[in-house]
Amino acid sequence: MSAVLKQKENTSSPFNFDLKKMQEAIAAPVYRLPNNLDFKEFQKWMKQQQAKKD
Amino acid sequence: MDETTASEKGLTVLFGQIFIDRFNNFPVKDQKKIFEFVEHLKTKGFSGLAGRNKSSIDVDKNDSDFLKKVTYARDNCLYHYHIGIPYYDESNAFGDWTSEYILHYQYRNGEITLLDLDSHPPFTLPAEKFLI
Repeated sequence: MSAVLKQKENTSSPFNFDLKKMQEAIAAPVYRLPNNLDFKEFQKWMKQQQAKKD
Repeated sequence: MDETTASEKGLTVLFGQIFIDRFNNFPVKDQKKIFEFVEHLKTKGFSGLAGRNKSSIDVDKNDSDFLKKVTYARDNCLYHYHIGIPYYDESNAFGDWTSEYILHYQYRNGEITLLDLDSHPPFTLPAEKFLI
């Protein structure tokens, strides 16, 4: 019996989540532009960021 | 705009997801203008910009949702810049040039997040889905 209880204690509940981490995970993504890009590289970088989402 | 903290130095520029999605469909000449604005912000901050750059709390006082819009703009640190698309009206002094299209952005903690490119009038604030 005690072994069963111990096992239950160690089992993470689906309701035992970190609200802050969850909010961060679903927050709208934001992208930081790297330095020293010319226009062509900028266009390419923007397309890459869009592709990541898709 | 708190220009005293950022006018003489470059700023960090970020992009919202919706802005990135839309950017890739803009005409190349418009993409170039946005790129030039971004480069200017990164190297010179707000100093020496050609277009009008202002806080979006400056809502028309006759607007029926005046208080709501002002609060929304203030709480979300919303600003907008006259980007020169399709062209600048140069009637005012350099630095106060205006254009049909404006870039909406959030500015806080020395960072700018580009949110949307929109035409005006009428002036509309970016919806919540654009915000970071």
